[in-house]
Amino acid sequence: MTHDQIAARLEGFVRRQFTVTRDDPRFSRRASLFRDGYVDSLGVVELLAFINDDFGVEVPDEALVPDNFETIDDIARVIHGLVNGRREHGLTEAPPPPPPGAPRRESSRDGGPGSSVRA
Amino acid sequence: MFRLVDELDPNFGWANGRVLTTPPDRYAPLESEPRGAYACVAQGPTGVQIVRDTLGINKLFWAQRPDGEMLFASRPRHLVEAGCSFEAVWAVPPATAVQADPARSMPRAAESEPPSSPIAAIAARIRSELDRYFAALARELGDTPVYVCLSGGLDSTGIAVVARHHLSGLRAVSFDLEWGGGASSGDRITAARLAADLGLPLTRVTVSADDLLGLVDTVLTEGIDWRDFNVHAGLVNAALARGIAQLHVADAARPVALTGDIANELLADYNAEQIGGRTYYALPRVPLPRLRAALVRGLEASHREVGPFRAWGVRAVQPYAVVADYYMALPESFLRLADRKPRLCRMVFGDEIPAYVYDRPKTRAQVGGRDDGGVLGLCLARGIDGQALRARFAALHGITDFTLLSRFICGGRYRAALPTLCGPT
Repeated sequence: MTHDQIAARLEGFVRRQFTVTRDDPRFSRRASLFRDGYVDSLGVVELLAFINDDFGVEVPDEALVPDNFETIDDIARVIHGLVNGRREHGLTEAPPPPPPGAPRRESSRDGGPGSSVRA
Repeated sequence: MFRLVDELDPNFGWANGRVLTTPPDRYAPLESEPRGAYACVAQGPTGVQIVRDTLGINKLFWAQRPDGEMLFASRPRHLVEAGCSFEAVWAVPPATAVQADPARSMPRAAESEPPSSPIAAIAARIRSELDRYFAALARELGDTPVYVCLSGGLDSTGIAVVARHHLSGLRAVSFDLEWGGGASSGDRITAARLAADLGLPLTRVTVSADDLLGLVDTVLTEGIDWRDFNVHAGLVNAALARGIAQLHVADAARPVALTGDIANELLADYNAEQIGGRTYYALPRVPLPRLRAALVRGLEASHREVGPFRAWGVRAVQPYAVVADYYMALPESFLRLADRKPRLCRMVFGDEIPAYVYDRPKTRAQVGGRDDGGVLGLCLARGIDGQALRARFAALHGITDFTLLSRFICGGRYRAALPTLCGPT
């Protein structure tokens, strides 16, 4: 599945679920869903459920940071990475992308120094 | 190097049959990830130990100052006051366990029941684990004054009936709001009856509307949340905490308050409230199993219990946190039952919970079985709605750009990452 296909499905869901009109001039795949008020905190939960159901991937907490998860294009990129990561590595979940702007994350998954564990 | 800029919340973790009350700024080797409430950042023999419990009950935030110094705190506001911008504040993720000693591993704690286990077996495990926890807690607390917060609902009653077997001096406390008519609320009436039936002395905390609303700023900063549902719950807790604290001004040991919080999340047992034709406390439109997962996941982002109690020096303990794994093992088919809460409570607590509590319609502590909507209704009547709370939280944290808030709590989680703090410092 391409990034564009993912973005199209996401856009359809957002328009339906959060009642975005066809002629809304502010809305696009690059609009900030949260800052511009299209999706609120409850909506994030609904969006995550849709992603899980429709694309079969779980978005890790680490990806839920603004620079990764602000627009439909951003979210499509995350899903694209998760779907491809799963396929390439035979994983049920792709490794989480690092949070942008945040310092290095340590966990047993990414093999940081020391013995750290994150469920 | 790092620096703690405030005193972290007291620990009441649970691992391997022990209550973990290590001071949160002191290194302690842990054999497994703690359940319950636990957070720490401490210098260990070979590096920094950073731990946060599985559900994220205890809070731990960090930020790097412009001069490079790494600061930790239990409240974002203290990081802001120490010179960090709110935008630079991150939470340590729940279920973090960075051991200072690389030779020590920290495996995940207790295994969950497999979903195929009979409900009765899961209920039995819940009860036995609660008994074990309270027995250990009683040994740990000695003669510390312990209160159980009674709302007259099933969750707090369940805590009371188990706790009284283990804590000989257990007392009860109940909240009521002096507003809108003068009669006692359904919560107060049931709590008083229950306390008498359980043989627990009851402290009645009854506050006026103005008095309660005077606690909003404390609840916003200590509760680390602006969302109405959590702020309203925090107001009830703040009033209870102050009422308890006033009775123990001269005591050396800080009193403990047991609450029935978390059980609603574990069973997705919430409904929206309707007042004046409008809906409040709305829930995400997702199937029940997903709703439960979202609610439990969201426990991390709010300090509505521990925070407001702590503001008055009362240590809050949420015993359902230590049995969360067992609740989460309840299968979807059980979760879909309309009467799942009373059904499970009958299996866990049986007839120890009186019939009139089982028979009572479900009410929220924020509403309290009142026709006037309780704390929710009061806040709305005074114009303190969701927008006002958001604006006040922003003002208290030096935030001018409100969009920072939706970046700080997103999808029911605080913005989280681990700082780079490995190796000797």
